[in-house]
Amino acid sequence: MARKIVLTGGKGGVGKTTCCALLGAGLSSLGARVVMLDVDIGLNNLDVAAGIDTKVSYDIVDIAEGKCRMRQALVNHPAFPLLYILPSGHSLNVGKVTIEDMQKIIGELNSSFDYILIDCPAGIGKEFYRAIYLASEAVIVTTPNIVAIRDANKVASLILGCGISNLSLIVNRVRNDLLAKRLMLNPQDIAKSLNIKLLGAISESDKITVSANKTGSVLDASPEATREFNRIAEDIHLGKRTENTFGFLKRRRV
Amino acid sequence: MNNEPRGLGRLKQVLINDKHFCPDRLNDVVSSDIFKVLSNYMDIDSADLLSKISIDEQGNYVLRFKVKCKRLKIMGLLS
Repeated sequence: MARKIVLTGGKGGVGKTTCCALLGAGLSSLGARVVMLDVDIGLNNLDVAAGIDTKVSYDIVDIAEGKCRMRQALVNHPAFPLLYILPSGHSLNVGKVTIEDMQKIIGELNSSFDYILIDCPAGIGKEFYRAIYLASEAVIVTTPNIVAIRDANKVASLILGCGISNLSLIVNRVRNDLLAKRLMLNPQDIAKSLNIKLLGAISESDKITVSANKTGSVLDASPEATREFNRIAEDIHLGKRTENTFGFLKRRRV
Repeated sequence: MNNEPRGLGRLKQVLINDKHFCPDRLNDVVSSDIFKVLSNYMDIDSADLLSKISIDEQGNYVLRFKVKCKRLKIMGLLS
């Protein structure tokens, strides 16, 4: 039975897809069988972020329409033998895949993998709910600015309303120089304000940006740049994330 | 000296306001009702009544109002 974790955040550009790809790689490096699902149909990016876009023959829409079988659509990452990607449809016909189709796909993947990571689209529309309904845990990705945190707060409330109580937070693109001067919001303060346990804080890294621009894949970034993602993956895999830093605070449904 | 990191106060305010959404329209309605009540006891001008509903850091509503009174009507009421 796979753990189904959705990576979401509401606001676009906070790094959901990058976090999904790097966590997927981190978990698979620990020996877990991981499949990453891109449910951002029409605006698919996970295949590019993972560097497997040239290997895509079929996608999630083809499976939903019965044009191919699951194993034909799944792409195995060449550098991570236990990491698979189920690419999203690249056509703009977003409405073709229903929640029922997605549940069927998840059901099929459930027994073959330890983790199903769901890369959620930005926004809180129909596509957001299509991703949320598939998950049993949520990782909210935000950046240390008020606009992104506000969206993260709203998304957290919506997720709780959908019955997912296992929420955690990744604060991405933290600038340590600004943090030292107290000119940037502290990830722990953000987690406390949102009443969500902090899974990790990712420092802004030129190396990830350069890697994404150079090879197209964030998975080619140096081990130094991805160290924090690997630590988070370890926490998720070894169950440390159940230790709630802010356990005395119960998040209320809004 | 305030040790709170810059922006944290603003973040709290935004999150609390989202939680207890209080539009300006409500403020206008409350102001209008307060004006009607106070007009029974004093001569006031609606332009001189300043009222504001806000939310403190604990999430409690706080109503503040300030009014410039020209004359009390209280003596007339007592006679």
